[in-house]
Amino acid sequence: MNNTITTNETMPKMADATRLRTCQLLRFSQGSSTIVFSIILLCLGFNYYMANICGGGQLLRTVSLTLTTILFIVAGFMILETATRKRKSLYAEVYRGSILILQRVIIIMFVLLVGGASLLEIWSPWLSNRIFPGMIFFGILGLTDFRNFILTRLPEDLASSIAILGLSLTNIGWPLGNYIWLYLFLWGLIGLLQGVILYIRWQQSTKRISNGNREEKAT
Amino acid sequence: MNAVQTEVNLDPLIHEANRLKIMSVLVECEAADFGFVLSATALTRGNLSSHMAKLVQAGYVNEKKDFVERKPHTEYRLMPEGRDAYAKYRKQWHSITGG
Repeated sequence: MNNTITTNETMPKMADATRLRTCQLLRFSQGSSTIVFSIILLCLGFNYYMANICGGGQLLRTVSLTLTTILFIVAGFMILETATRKRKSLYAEVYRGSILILQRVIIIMFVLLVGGASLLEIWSPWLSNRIFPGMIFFGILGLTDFRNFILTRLPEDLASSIAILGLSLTNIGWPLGNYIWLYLFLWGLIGLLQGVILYIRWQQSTKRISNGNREEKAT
Repeated sequence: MNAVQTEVNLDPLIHEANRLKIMSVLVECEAADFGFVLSATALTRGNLSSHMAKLVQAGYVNEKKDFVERKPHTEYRLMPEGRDAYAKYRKQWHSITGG
């Protein structure tokens, strides 16, 4: 069907603005999961730090403790999320959200694998290299956040990219050493900060919207 | 005037400012409820309902109604046909404007 349509040039701009607003709202809604993910990273960092101090004998106990902590946090979070999300005034799922979950699972598995390998002193020649797994892991997460920044234009998504740049520059002059727990702590803290900001923004958005809806109903 | 007249196959269902907004929201989501679409598009409830009904009727959007804590809850999902139509619309738009 051929239509003669008078088009307005502002329409795609308006559509892009709506898409940006949607991406931002979806990102805000990820605040609580970012906080949980950061707590998991901090738990892992703490466990590896303890294992580094206590030596390889504590490894099994540390890893099992870590896994139990993660399972408890994730299970608790999922129960809470499913119970409360739909009750709220706003609810949306990110398109292909399972990729995001898979990405986080891969990162945790990678950390467990590399952390375990470093504690058992496997791959020691590779691990002692300057381009060590900690930086690779940090880089992967930083790139993910940079992609988020491109999509949402939120300044808090730049935090990890700036941290990576700073760490890389520091590392050139003063090598930080291959301490996976150090990177986990750093990332966990940055993630926690990001998560808190996103969570606050989400709360503000939902509050503003529910107030707006009430006003609209009243009129 | 900031308008051009051209002969193309633009989908008339999407080529409406409010429906384009709705499609732009749903294309970023796996599923979204009425409140979310309302907040992202900044439309009025009545406006959103009527435009959404047209998209549902065309088979671009899937509507699921249920009750959450005895309150009605409507969830929308963009169907593959809707996603394709939106992608085609954007492609055609870029070919018109060259941007």
